[in-house]
Amino acid sequence: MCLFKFFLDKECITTYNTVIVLIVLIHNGTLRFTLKGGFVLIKIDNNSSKAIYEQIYDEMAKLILSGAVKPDEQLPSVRELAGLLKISPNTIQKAYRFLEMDNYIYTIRGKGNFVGNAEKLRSIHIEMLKKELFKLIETLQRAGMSDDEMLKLIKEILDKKNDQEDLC
Amino acid sequence: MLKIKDLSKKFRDFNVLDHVNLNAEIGQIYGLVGSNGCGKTTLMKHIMMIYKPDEGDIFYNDVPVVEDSEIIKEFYFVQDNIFFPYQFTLSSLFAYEKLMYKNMSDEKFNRLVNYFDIDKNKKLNKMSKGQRKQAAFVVAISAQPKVLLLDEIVDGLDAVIKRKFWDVLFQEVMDNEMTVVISSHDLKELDNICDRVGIMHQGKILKEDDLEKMKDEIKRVQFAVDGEYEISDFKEFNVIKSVKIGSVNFCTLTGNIDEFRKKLEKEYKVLLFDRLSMSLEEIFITELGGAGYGTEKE
Repeated sequence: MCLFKFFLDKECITTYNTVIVLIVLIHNGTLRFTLKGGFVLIKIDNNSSKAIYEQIYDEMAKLILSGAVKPDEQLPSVRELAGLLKISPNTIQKAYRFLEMDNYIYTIRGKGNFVGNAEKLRSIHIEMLKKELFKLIETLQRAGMSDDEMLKLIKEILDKKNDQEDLC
Repeated sequence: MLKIKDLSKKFRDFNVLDHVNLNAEIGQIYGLVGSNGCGKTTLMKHIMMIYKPDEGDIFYNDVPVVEDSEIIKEFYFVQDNIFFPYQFTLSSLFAYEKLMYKNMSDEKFNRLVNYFDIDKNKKLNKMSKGQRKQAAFVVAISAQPKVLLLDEIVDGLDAVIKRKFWDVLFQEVMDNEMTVVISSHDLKELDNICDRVGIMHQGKILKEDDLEKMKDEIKRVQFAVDGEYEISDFKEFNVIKSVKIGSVNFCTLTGNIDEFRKKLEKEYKVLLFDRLSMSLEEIFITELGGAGYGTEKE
């Protein structure tokens, strides 16, 4: 109540405007700073056999799912990222398009790309993958794989993955 | 799209261009790379209709590009050996080029002059080679062309300026969907930046594809096995090159990597196996090696 009266007071209008501008600047400044600092952490491995756009997608998805960037936070523009990483903007655009298709981010025309809701995403993504797994299991069964063989295969894959991660 | 179809040109008896086919989409960054003297500059001059082809055609968005085509007025070519008229400054160059390019932007020009920190009143021929390239680039971008041909423009620029250069180029490609054909010998620089690459040698395009696809097709693996690895057993994987350093083998191949690994595991005890990607430089050397270039022994 008092705050409201304060802002209505003519003599305080200048202060009010300055405060609002300062808040906006600091807000944007922090965002940009975090983003720039955060996204230099996207490392592109030129020796990896994974396509560049795929690496960007994976790193971004990881960043988003980890919560390091918050929902509705603005991501660097395609051009910013292209300049930072020295990668064709078309490649960055491709990664962003896939991220949008998979609901990790959403785009507002003329404004930019923003982080989607991570919790919601994770469950959406997992639902998608569950469906795919279901189909795959059906296919393997049709190909003659027994339940035991399938379970053995899954354990094998997981063990291998765990070994790979230990080596990294 | 910019399409060059079966373009051939002879200088006297010399086949400078031999059935060249090139395809660059709108908004694509196309890297034109090749051995010294392979015809990159000549090809670019053909696009600008500085030369007329003996055979073949050039199309832009399915419309033929010929000597009097209107569309050439929206193509801009930055040559390697840039010629500036005597006593010209960047300001006078801009004013002069503005007469020919109707989309020339004053706002962009001023912004870029500041960004590259160029003295627009200094005589261009008194500038260093790098500064002259920057000046030419500034005018090129200000002209807002649909197709921008850059002949070895990054070659010889310092690392700081190169960054600025890519920044500006990316912005223009995105904002105006400009198609860029850039030639360079600095393949490390072009790697990851080009969407599509054409590898030239002796007037021919040896290979043209999206860079991503090229890297998917030619692969490199490093592996170590217990015992002696017999390369002849693995012919079906089309191993282009095989090098052994210590006990680790490095193979370049186009065959299926998973199958290769399976077979390896069947025949040997595999101690190490990694798939590596090929850099543009490595792809280039491999392709040209295939054409017999650089295969002389010391």
